Amino acid sequence: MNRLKLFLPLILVLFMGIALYFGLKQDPHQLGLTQQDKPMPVFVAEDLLLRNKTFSQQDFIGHITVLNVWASWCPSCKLEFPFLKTLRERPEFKLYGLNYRDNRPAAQEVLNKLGNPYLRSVYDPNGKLALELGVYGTPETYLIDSQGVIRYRYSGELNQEVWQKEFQPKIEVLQSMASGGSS
Amino acid sequence: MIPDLGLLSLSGALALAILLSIVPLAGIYCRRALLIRYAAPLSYGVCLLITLSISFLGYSFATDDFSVMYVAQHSNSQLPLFFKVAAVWGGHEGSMLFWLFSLSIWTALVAALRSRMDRQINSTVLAILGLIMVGFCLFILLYSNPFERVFPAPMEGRDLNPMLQDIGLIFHPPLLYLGYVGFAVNFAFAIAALLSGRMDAAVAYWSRPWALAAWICLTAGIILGSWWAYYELGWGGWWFWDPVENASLMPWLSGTALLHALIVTEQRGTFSYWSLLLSIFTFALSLLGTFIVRSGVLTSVHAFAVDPDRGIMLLLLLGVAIVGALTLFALRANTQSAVARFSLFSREALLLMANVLLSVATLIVLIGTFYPMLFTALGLGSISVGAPYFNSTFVPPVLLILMVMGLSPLSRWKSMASGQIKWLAALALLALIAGGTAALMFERFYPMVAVALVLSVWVIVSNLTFVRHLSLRRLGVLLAHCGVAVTAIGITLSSYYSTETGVKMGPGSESTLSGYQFHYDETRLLIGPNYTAEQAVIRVTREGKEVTLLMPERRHYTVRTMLMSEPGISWNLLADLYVVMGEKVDKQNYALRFHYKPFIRWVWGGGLLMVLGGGCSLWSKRSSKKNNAGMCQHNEVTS
Repeated sequence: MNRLKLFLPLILVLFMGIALYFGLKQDPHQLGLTQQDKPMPVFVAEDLLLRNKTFSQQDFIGHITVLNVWASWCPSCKLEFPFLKTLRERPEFKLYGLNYRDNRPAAQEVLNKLGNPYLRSVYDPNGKLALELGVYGTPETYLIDSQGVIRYRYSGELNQEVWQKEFQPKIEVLQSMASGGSS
Repeated sequence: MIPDLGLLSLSGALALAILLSIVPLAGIYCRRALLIRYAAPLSYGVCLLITLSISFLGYSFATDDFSVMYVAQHSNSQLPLFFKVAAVWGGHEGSMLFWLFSLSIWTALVAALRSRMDRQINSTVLAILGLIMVGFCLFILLYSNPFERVFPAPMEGRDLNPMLQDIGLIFHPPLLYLGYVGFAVNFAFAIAALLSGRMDAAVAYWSRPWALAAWICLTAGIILGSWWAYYELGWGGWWFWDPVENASLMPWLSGTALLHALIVTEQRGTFSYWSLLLSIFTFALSLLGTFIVRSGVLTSVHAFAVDPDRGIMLLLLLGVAIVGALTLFALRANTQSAVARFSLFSREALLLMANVLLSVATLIVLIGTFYPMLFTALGLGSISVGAPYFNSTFVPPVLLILMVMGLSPLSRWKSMASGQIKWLAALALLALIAGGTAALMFERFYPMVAVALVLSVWVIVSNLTFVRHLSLRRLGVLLAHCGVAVTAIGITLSSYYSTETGVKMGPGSESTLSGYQFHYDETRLLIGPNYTAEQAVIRVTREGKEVTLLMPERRHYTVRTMLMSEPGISWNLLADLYVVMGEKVDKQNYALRFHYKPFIRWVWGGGLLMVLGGGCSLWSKRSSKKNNAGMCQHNEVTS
């Protein structure tokens, strides 16, 4: 065998190692903010629960939206549910779900069992919208302003602490901007 | 005082490990027999000092020495002694010390069993293991010191994470670590083989029992972990493709491939590339596993401390090990092609297929675990994978592996014996009928279930042909291969036919699932050593007959103010009834979740068979050593 070929494993591993090193330098929760400050992609998708209603980027205009990506196969998503339910009744934003690469009965089953924390859920069985949003892994949560522009993205489980540190201040800023603009 | 002694012995161990990594190699280089002989005593010395060090840490736990920060963070005076000892490996610092401790035990064993090995190879192996220990000693002393003091000492500790207060914890991480670390021995053998320029049958013969022993520990650790997740975490599941779970699956898959590659190298003298690369990669994947779990590079349901500095250091250790090993491989591996010839349906060809399939499966898990992160790190935007990816990509190679496993007992070295084809056809037909019938007996028919059942039955019936002339070695193969099939059956049936329901229940109410009636009798209040609990007593009946009592608990751990659910489980070979007690909904009622899980025990039962099979093989190896000693000497002469 050609000796040069024996270097192949080494080269592959070096390539992986370099990528891993850069991966480590990032905060695992703040990965890939490529979509930040970009408007919601243009899309049409079905509503998870109401089969004859459709969802589109228009549904994200006129109010602040918290969009939570979840799936029935994702255990950490279900861990989030109790906290998400405490957010449901807040007047300052709408909590939407993005049901990701799931099948409808399994997803509906989860909502029936654990209680539905979302006002509405986008049904995205092939991950089409999620791909455009750059979803990295579930659960993931997006903050979208009233113009439908993505302002922030968080990867990982949401809880009280994360909410107060990452989301609360940003929502307050968005609110004051909105009221400042209108007055 | 005692913790300082622990730190002192660890520093002593570092000094001896440095000597161990230099002296024997210097001896080989300068051809001084005396220096080479130092390898074994130095290995014992390192092992002794590290054992002392971890014992001192255990003693600090037992005596509630909260001036040690690690003890204060992971123990509490109210914690039962049993768990205090287990808390030694309950957190980052202690588990790294335990990692080192396992490595020193393996090293001492390699030194103790040196009489059957070539002395030069043995000493080189010990020196390489010494070098790995130097790396880990330095890492622990500089970045993860479990003996660090805190002033003033707190009056009380933070308690051990209640999730970890369970018998499963006592044995799961140690077994897993013993498995991970055991593959370091094979790594060292690969390096020794490359350094000395011989990767022949003899080296494979010495190396294989270590791979087998490590594989047994790793298998046992994985089964215990999945069983623990099932009954302790209260999710009613046992595998979630979580990065931390994948971290142990990857070295298991490549370690299984390594075992099979070593058989060919040992028996036929070929496949030495496979043996070398799989030795290197299995250990690298073990290190990667430690890195994933301990660095916080991936967010996971397993919440461990996130510390990027430690992550970088572990990555550096991993990098040095693997880059060094692969450079050596590229420069020193024998480029002459093997002379052995074999036909398409020979045992060699089947083992080659098995190795390729296992490597592909490892790669699939590796990609699924790291792809999202790599994608982002390379600035390509982001993309996601999850359970759907693993389910669709991992299953096909596994089904192919089952197919190959069914062929293996009837294969022969070099070429397929004639007359086997009839046997094969008969067995295949038998499997087709038995598996197909079984699949039709369930209430709903899925083609995938039928395929998996037919292939699993195929593996079992064809392995049972071994029974005709059984030896201990063949019994090992039989048990391990049937174990894989049993696990495959368990995984398939439990994932396709499990049902569950969530209900609000209180004393006096009733509910049904899969033909079982659940009667909620009463709620009891219990007081444990460091928790209080509400326990539901649920009577289960089927067609009016009482079947069992389920007693799930909700525990409140006072020190950590944490709530834990202890599921109530009733099990038998065919199905489990599993209930989790959820939130208290109102004054009387709780949210309860009932699961019916058919064949779930087969998942772990198959794992146990694999461990037993591995044990038989190891034992047969041991007892056949006398017979084979001649062969090894012969090999040494010819090489």
